Amino acid sequence: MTRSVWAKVGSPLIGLFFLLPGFALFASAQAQTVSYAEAADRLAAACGKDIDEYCRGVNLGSGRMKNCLSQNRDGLSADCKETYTQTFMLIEKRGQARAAVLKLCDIEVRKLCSGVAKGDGQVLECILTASAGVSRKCNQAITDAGFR
Amino acid sequence: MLRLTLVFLGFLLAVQPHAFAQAKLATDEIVDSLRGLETALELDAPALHQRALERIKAAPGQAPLNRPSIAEELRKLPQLTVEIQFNPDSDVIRPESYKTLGRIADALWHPYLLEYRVLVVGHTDATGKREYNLKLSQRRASAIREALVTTFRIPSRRVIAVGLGEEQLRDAANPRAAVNRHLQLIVIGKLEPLDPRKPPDLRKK
Repeated sequence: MTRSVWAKVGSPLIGLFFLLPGFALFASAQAQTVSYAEAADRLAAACGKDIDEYCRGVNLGSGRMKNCLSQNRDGLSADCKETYTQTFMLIEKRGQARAAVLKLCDIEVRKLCSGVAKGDGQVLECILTASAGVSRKCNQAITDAGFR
Repeated sequence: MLRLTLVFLGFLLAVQPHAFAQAKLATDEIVDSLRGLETALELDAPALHQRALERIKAAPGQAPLNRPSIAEELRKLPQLTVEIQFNPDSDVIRPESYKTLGRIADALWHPYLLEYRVLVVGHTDATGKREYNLKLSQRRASAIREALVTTFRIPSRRVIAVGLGEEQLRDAANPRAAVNRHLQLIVIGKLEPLDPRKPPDLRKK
């Protein structure tokens, strides 16, 4: 009896065991490339009603909405509770990545873009269009920032 | 008057089956609308707001029909209008507009726009008191700026906010039309050129 139960439940469980890390990797790869628009949309979709209920007079900027949702965490819907911290983290990560790209691509900028280095936009365009000679670190930074 | 509405027609025209594709398309449209500045504008935003306030005080009872623009010089710059919803009589941005705000921020991080300074202009229609409308539009423009700078990390020196109330009607022949409750993004100039000896400006906030 016990064996047959395991035969029924065990194999999907084992499958899940192998699938989960793959899914986690997929999810984190996705997370790195979420635009601000997408992240903001997720927040509004998951927390729109909670915001109206608990944080109606609160604005998004200066961390106020995040703080308000945190302070009212116990009352939030399950969807919002699950989504908001992750979403703010995604927005933060994207912002950090964008602010850090040129620093992380510093060597490439000097090597490949010294002739066009008049402003950040032109430098960034130069790096984005460079097909060879871009390090993994720089490439990763560009991906994290969502520039490619 | 109670809502500051930015109408970005591109959103209405863009029919995309996938939400993410739509976001990308709309962001590209924002970028396209804001590219191509030819002549920068020396702009003193507080002085512009003050000019609007003084005009109101000089003729508080003036009818809004065909009221001339307070800042005609803004019209020739690359710009677009976007729809943003606020709570009534408030500068609190509605969650329904977070995505649009995110799109604007994505666009402002685009390499084509990265070196440019952007003016966020709040407008209202001509319902209610002019001076109140002027103040409300200023608060709303400032709330947009705050979200762009703090939540989405657009360097603060790139974004300027000004409210013009009902002093720059988009449809002056219909002063109460919803189209007047809009918010504009206007590219006004480039950031200072980089000193090559200094690290790239992107790192500064």
